[in-house]
Amino acid sequence: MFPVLSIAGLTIPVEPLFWVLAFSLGSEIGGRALGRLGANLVPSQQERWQGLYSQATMVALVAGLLVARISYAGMNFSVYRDSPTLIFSIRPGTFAATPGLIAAAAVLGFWLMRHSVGLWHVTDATAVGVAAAMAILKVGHFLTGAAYGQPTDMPWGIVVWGMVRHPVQLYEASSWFAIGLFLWWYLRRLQSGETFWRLIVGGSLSILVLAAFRATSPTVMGGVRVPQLVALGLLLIGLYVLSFYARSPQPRAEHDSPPDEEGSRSSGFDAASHQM
Amino acid sequence: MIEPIEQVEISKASGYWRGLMVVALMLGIGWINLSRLPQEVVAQDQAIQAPMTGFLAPDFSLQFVDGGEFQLSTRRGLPLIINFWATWCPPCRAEMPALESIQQQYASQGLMVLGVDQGESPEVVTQFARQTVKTTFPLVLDRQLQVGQLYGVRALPTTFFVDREGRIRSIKIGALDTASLVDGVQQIITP
Repeated sequence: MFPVLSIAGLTIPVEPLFWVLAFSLGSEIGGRALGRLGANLVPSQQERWQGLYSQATMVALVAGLLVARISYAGMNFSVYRDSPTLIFSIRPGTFAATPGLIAAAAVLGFWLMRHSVGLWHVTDATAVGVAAAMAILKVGHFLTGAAYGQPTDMPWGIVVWGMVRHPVQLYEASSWFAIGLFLWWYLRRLQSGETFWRLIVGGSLSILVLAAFRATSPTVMGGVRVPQLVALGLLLIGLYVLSFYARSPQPRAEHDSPPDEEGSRSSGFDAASHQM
Repeated sequence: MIEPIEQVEISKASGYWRGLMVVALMLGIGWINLSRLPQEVVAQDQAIQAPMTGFLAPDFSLQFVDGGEFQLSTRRGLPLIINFWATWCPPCRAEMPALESIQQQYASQGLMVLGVDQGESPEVVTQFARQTVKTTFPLVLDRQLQVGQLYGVRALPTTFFVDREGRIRSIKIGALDTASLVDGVQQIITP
C-alpha cells in the first residue's frame, strides 16, 4: 500500500493528494459541464459560465476550508480556549469534513445563482463533477488500502492487509467513472435537474450493489450494512422524482427561459422546479 | 389542455415508474439481506495485525534509549500513541513539546506516548530528546528500521493511535499539535 508517494524528491501523503486531485478534476469537469449547459441557451455563453464555475469553486473551497477549520476548533473548544493561537496551526486531520462540504456546496450554489445561473443548472453540472471526483477518490482509497474489500477466491483478487480481497475500490472507481460518462453524454438532452437526480439514482445503485463487497461497512441488526440502507432510501427518492420528469418530457433547450441581453438568465431558478 | 391519448401515455408512464420503484425496493431489500457482513469475516479481520485503521497494531519489541526492552503486546489494555520520528526531521522536532504535554496530561488515564526513533544512535537521540527538548516520554530505537517497515512508514513523522484493545484507531502523517493529538487521544482513551 502507498500511504505516501515520493515524487521528484518530495514525499506527498496520498490521501490529501487525492483530495486535491479530485477537487481539481471535479471542478474542471463541472465547469465544462456548466459551459455546455450555458451553450444550450446562447452559444457565446459557454466560456462565461465555465469561468463563473471556476471562480465559484475557488470561493467555495476557501469557504469550505474556513468552515471546516472553525467547526473543528468548535468541536475541540477546550484545547483552543486554553491555547487560542493553535487556531492558526494547520495540522493533518484538523478539519471537520462534513460541515466544510455543506458550506462549500451552499457557497457554490449561492455564488452562481447570484450570477444568474439557474439552481438546477448548477446541480446538474456539479453532479457530473462529483461523479468524476468520486472516481478519483476511490483510486486514492485503492492506493492507500482504505475501504478495503472482503476476502475472495476470485482470480482478480488482490493481497491487501494479509488476505486476498476484492479490489472493491476499483469496482467503485469504475462505477463512478461510468456514471460520470453517462451523465456527461446525456447532459444536454436531459431536463433541468434531471442529471442531478440521475446521479442520485446511479450513485445509490452503485453503493447498494458494491458495498456488499466491502469489509469495512458500519452495520446494524446483525450485519446489515448502513450505507446500503441509506442508498436504498435515496434510490427510491431518486426514482420517484425521475418519474415526474418522465411524465412530462421537455428537452432542456425548449423549456429553458431565454437569456437577457447580457447573455445571462433573468431568474435564478428554472423550469423543472415548477414541474414537481 | 391534455389530449386523451396523451393522458393514456402519462398514465402508462406512471404505472411503469411505480412498478420500477416496487421492483427496486424488493430487489434492494433482498440484496441487502443477502449481502449482510458475515460475522466470520469480521472476526477474521479483527485478528489480523496490519498497519491500518481498524486492525491490531503489529507487535514488536525494541530497546529503550534509557535501557530495557519495550514489547508492544504487554501494553494491551492501555492506550498508546506510537510516534515514528528522527532528530534530523524538522516537523518531528517541532511536535516534541506537544507529545510531551499530551503524555503529562493523560498519563493518569494510562496513556503512553512512545517515540520510535528511526535509524539513529542512542547518543544522538539522548542528546536531543532528553537534554535539548527535555522530553520524558519513553523512546525506543529502531536502528535497522524494521519496525518502521512493519508499520509501512514512508514519511516522518507518522503517528499511530492505538486503543486499549491494541487496535489502530487513526494514523496521522505529518507534524501534530496539541489539538490534533487530543483529537486522536479521545478515540483511544475511552474504556
